Amino acid sequence: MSAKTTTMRRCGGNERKYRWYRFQKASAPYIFILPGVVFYLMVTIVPMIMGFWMSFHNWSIIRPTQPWVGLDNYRKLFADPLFWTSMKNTLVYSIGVVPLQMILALLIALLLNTGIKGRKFFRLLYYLPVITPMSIAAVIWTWIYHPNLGIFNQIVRFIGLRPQDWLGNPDWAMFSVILVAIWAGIGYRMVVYLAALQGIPRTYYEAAEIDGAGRWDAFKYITLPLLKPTTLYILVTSVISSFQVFGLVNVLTGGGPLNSTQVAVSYIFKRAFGDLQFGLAAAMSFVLFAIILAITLIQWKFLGKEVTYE
Amino acid sequence: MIKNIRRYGALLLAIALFMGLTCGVSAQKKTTIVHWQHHSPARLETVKAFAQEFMKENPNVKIEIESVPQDDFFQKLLPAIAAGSGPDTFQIPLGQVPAYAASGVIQPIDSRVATTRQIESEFITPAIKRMKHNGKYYGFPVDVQTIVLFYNPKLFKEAGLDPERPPQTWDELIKYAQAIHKRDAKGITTQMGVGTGGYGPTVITLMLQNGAPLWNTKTQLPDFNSPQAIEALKFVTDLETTYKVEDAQFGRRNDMFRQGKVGMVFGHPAMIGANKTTAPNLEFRTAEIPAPKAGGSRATLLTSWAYVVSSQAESEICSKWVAYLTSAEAQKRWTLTTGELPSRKALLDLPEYKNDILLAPCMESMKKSVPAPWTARRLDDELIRETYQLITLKGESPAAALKWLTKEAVKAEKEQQELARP
Repeated sequence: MSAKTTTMRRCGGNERKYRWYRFQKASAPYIFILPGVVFYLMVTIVPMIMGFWMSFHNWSIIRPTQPWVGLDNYRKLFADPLFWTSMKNTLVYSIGVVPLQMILALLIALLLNTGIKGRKFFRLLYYLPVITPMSIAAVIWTWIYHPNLGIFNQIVRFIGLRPQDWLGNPDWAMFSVILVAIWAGIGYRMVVYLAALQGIPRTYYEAAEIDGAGRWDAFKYITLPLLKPTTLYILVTSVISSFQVFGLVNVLTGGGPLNSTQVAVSYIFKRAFGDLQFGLAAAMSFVLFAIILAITLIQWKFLGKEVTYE
Repeated sequence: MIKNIRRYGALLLAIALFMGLTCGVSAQKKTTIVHWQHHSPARLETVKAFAQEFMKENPNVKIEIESVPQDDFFQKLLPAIAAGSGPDTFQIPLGQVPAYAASGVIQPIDSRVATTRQIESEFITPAIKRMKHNGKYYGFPVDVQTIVLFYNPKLFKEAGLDPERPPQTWDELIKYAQAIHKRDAKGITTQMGVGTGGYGPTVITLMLQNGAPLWNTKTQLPDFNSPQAIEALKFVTDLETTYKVEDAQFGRRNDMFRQGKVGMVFGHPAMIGANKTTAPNLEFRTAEIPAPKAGGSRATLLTSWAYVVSSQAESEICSKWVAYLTSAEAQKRWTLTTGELPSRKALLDLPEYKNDILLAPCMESMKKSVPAPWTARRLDDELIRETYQLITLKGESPAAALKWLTKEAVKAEKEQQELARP
């Protein structure tokens, strides 16, 4: 007996009832995901489209009419040296933060995956910066970096070096921001790595041990390859979030001194809300989006093919 | 028959009740004024008190105050205005009034509340000059500030200086600062002579004192390429680079001043309130900023915000509310509670201010104040501070730094002027 016949019988042989039943069954999943889709459209897709439209206008938020300027905003930003400085700074920040954050997170995760005493406490300790609001953490760090009263310079003085104006000197400001970013981001990556480590079956290590493999060999030939999907995930998301850094820079240095920590998003924000150049800021956002997309695709192309999820 | 009478009676009663209710509702209908301003605890308390009094005097008005942190203020205000859900009354920097007025976002002050002539006769010109657009005033001044010199009499005495005689000239300022400044054996500053921080309004003030024009009247754009501006910038940066009486590594000048470790600091009179609150045991004085030479100009830059009325708000009552916030009585309280300076002519010479050791120099500075001629907000501090840093951190010459500043300032000003074009 076919499924249709069974269902028809349940519907009392009524064709209309059967069709209604079929419609309900087919549409139910879509109705369930509808609120999520509408929300996503409202807060992400529609603003994105509007932002793209905005980038072709001389858009001022307080003016009633917004004149169409075509590609003028894109031309302007390509000729703006400060935009490229902010992109360069973003790249420096990304290179400074992402690899170190990943290496340290992996090392801590490996350590906490052993039978070390008090590991629950250490897990909490490393995760604490993740749940600390960035604005509060940044304010605390400005005190740590305080040139005269900060702990950082007290240590520097103690070891006999000359204290620095960590956030006020263009040569040190980016380094100081990177340090805080690493501190703030290790915890989350450590937890992801820890979860992945705990998913590796013990039997692999036991078999390797029987075959005479040492600890380094086990790490190199078992742990690292099996962590590849996790590493790729962390790498891609870390690069994306490092290109979108804003809050930390905004509170710590405001982009200064002399734009030495001016990153792409802080510059976009400044042009939009400081100078009311919303069209230009929208164009900058789309250039940044294109750059992030390109980097992500490159990462997938070169690293993604080696990753298996079995 | 009786049934009919009852029925009609009930109907009449229902109508009467309904009429009574609707009349009551319309009699109680309140106008709500949504008021936004940037936050400080003292400012919020003061405005809340004004709102209570205003509502008492105007029972049909309800005022809803929202105090937004200054860093988030425009991030919240601008989208709200664009979405048509902005406040009825709010504050914006003085220089931005023309752009907002030209865009039709704000409306002129209702003439039933204050006429153009009234406003001009009651307020000092520098505080209202930039608020005039097409012959009408678009706001009332608030958060009016000049630049004055704060000094620590205890450190003066320790350095053998007379605390009753603050420095009168730039040369004296250097000498005083040198007498106060202390370093340890390693050359690290332990007590700082003077602090300017390269703060925009301070640097501009020194340029104004020195007679720098700052504005090209032909092009109607900023111009910092003048010998007077170069000399002023050289003076202020020399404090750090040549005389070494200012040290950026010593920490934030105002924080360190409150800790009693800085002899003199240039700052806004609002610091009086902040100092009293955060460092109640600190003994400090104020003075007019020293002139370039004996008997020279003591002009100071006037910075201010404006209370404005949204174009969508009810004109008369909202104008009345912002006028109330800047009335003579209100300004007296602002001065007392927040350190904001009065901009009404009648208040500057009040004996209570003239005899106040801290406020008297501030009131004098108001009389000599000059508003910035530009509209670009970046010129208020950001670009000036960068110019200062180009010299102190990168070793550029003042002339080269001001050339760069003029280029950037013209670019920023053109952008803002374009926004103000209808």
